[in-house]
Amino acid sequence: MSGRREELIVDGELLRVVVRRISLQIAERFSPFRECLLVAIQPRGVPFAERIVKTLETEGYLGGLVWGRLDPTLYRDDIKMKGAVIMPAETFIPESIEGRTVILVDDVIYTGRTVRAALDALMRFGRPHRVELAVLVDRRFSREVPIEPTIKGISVDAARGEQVRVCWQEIHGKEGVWLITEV
Amino acid sequence: MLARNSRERRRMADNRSVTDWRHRHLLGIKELTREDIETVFGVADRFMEVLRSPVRYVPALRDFTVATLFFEPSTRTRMSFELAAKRLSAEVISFSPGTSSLQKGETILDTVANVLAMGVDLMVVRHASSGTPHLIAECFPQVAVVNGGDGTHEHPTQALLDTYTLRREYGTLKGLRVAIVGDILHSRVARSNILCLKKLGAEVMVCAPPALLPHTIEKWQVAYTTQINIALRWCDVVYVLRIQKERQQSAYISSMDEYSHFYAITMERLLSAGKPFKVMHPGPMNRGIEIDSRVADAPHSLILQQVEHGVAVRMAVLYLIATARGHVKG
Repeated sequence: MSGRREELIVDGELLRVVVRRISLQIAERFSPFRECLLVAIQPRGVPFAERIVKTLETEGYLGGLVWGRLDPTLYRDDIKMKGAVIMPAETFIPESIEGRTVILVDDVIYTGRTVRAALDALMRFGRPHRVELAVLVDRRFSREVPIEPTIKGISVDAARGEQVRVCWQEIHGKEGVWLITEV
Repeated sequence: MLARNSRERRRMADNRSVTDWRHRHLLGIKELTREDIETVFGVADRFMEVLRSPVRYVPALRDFTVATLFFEPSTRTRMSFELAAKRLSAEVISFSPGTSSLQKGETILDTVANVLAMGVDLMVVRHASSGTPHLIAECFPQVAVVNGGDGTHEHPTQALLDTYTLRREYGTLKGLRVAIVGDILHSRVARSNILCLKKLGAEVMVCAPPALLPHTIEKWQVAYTTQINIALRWCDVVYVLRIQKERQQSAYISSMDEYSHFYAITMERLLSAGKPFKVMHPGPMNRGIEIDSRVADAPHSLILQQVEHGVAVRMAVLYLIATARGHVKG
């Protein structure tokens, strides 16, 4: 009989500090956001992006920031390998990305394949001036494609079979980063 | 690790939304649950987003080959399927009987076997004989089959795009009153739509001249009438079927003029029903026979939306069947 072991590696308090630091980093580099869009990678980049937006608002740097969400499902290279048919999630980019800076946002970067698919999905909407990648957790030494975040929260070293899960109070009822192992 | 036994879409361990889609083929509405139909609608919503964005295709089926085998003539359904497959980046090949080996006496199954030997993953099949796609699916388990219309039996993608159009228009089909008018007896479109509408909670009435109502109509569990005004006064949406000229020749109706006189959907008839209405038609239309030009072109008409939604719905069907292929056994 197999079980799951869940180990808390970043508690809610520290998570909020990291989110705040990333939000302020984004404000420092891109405020007042006129030529900039935040694009959350579905599905788990969305709560992270919502937190960033809320933090920017609280800190007074929100300005005219526009943000949207992007689903990379239809661009994945492993769509038939998941054991069930995945329902594509909503893509909604409220303004043109042409000639603007896009900040892609996701909670965890692992092999980098999801971001690669998201980049393909993004290019469908035009040619951005540049693309930045903001992630909360960087699983180091795990890339299968040459993609690195340009803004990052914390680094975690995890083995192949382990999962790194970010949980948010409003969705999961708890907040923090967990390392999950099947034993 | 397969998601199993859930009635709603739920989150797998990695938080992605999965469907319960387990069909290797789409042979009819009969085999679909209400949940399956809602899954098709959900995926079609995403493809509508794709179709309305600057680059209208995605690479999801780039390693797939789709063949359309239309043993019966069709332009719009075939084009719609071809576009759907191309917008998923699949390779598409088309087979039409006029220029083919069928005229040299080859059987359907031999034709299919030959096409398959060339490496095809999915076939869209239309044939004048009911049950042909089912036969192909049974004889060739390695290929996925989508029914593009078989005889007088079913035309599942038409019903899916029609009900999807109604869902987008009304939000829900529960309690919606739909009257289907025309040659019910010979219509696979009517059969599939009746099944689909009922599964989604709509109320259905059919209206036809007595010779074009099946004599088993009581068993269909729908209301029926031979009086067009009764149908129009009752319904929220009128679905107009094409009347084929061949029916005139084989004495089902005495003349097209007589059919028009009693059953044509005219603006006068619709307005005198005294309530808001929408009009649908699967195409191609015989303007002036079963439907007036004024009606077809009026703001009440959902006909062009049906066509637009047809590509998105067919993309959804191809996506679901292609991605299910790996893990659903025949």
